[in-house]
Amino acid sequence: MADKFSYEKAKAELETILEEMERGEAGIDTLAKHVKRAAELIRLCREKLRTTEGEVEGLLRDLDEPQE
Amino acid sequence: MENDSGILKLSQLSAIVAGVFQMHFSEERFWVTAEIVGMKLSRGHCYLQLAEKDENGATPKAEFRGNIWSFQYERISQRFFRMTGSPLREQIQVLLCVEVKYHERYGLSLIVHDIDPAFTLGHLELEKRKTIEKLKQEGLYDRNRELELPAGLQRIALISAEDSRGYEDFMNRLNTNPYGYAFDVTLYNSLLQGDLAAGSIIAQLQQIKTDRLLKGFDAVALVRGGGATSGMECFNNYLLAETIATFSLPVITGIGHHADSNVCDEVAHTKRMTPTDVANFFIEHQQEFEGTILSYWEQVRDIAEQTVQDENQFVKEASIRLHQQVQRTVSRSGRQLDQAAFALKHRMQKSLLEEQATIRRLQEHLRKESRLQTQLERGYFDEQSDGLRRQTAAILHREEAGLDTTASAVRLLDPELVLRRGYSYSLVEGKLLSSITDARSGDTLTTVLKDGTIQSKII
Repeated sequence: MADKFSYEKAKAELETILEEMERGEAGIDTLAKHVKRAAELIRLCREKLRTTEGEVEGLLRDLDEPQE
Repeated sequence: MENDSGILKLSQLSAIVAGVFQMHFSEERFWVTAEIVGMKLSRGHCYLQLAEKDENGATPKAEFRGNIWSFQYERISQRFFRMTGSPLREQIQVLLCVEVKYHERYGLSLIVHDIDPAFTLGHLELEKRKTIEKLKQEGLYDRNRELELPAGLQRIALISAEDSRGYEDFMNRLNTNPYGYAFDVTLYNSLLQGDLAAGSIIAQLQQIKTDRLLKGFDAVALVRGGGATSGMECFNNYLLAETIATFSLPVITGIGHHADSNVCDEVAHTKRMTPTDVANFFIEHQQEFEGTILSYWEQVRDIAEQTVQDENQFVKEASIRLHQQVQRTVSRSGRQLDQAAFALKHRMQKSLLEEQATIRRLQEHLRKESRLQTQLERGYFDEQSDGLRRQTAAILHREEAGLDTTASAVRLLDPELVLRRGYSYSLVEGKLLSSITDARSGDTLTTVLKDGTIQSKII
């Protein structure tokens, strides 16, 4: 089963991305990747903040299924 | 008053008792402490059940009825409420100023003339302080407060009463938040006042603990609101406070007591005043979380933009540098080329001049040589021509002499002379006839004589 979405994990990942970017380790090559991932995490968080658990589980199932 | 059989009527007995009371308690007032175990209002009068319980708080050691007449009740209850923040109610310790009264019809009762709110306040406060002290000593007081709130508070276990205004306010506020945050609230219905409330809340907390994994609760909300502020003693209950303090999820309270906080409020993770306030707490928390991640996003975007800008700047500068370098190189090469061209031109001019000089030298030399040669040649030629002239003259002279001789000889041979001497010669067809073989019959023979010609035909 895919990892359940968690605000903590999303926040931690965002912090990691930001740290890496702040350290300047992320060159222009990884920049797009980082920005894309950050945008995705923020979108997920904001979406989840406005969706109840039942709805979220449905959404996540939909997301997971095609990959499995 | 006694009849013969010594049997009294009830009224007769009560008159005796009344007389005894009149004798011993005549309007004397006493300050007594007691717990109000029952309370009833009727036609403005207040009827109390007063008791003194034993150490365990179970069996009463003494009980009395107490009456506050309507003309006193208003004043007493208002003052009590003002000072304690709580109305006169059951399950509180009170200090009362009473008069013991025996009424023939209603029997023994205490007429309450006054109640000292300070005593109750002090007693409650003391109880509360004792509870808090105990929790502190056991290291439980800050336990729940030390729990970290999860990043997002969305799944809420709510302890409230389904039909209460507190529940309604809480749900209403959560569901109409202007940010569109969604919450999953599971209600754990509970009594929220009175003797049984503490036990009811504890039972629901245990149920929440059981459901926690399944439902993935983020926090517990304990709210009550509206209605009377009586029966709040349960929130100072040690067992309940201990359960909250040691609970594995953060507990947010909104018990709605506007006076001093209770022990549950004190040990809770977060204390808010009303159920609406608690709902706002959750909404604010979500806002804060969203604000945090949005600020991360801003930073990510800023860094990204800055990086792109830096890269662009770098490329721009590099291109400028490259351009400058190219220009420098081109102009240097141009200069070198110019210099080379100049040097070449210079050398060529020099070579040319040298060559010209050489040529001039050679010309000069040649001229000199040729002049010399010419002179030499001319000398020789002169010599030769002189010799030639001399020789020619000699030859001419000699030839002249020879010619003279020849001329003499020739003159002798002149046919005219010969002819004069009488000789003739003949021609056939213009040719000199020197042999008879040349003459054929039929030919015209021309014979030349000294004084003319004769034509004859050969026969």
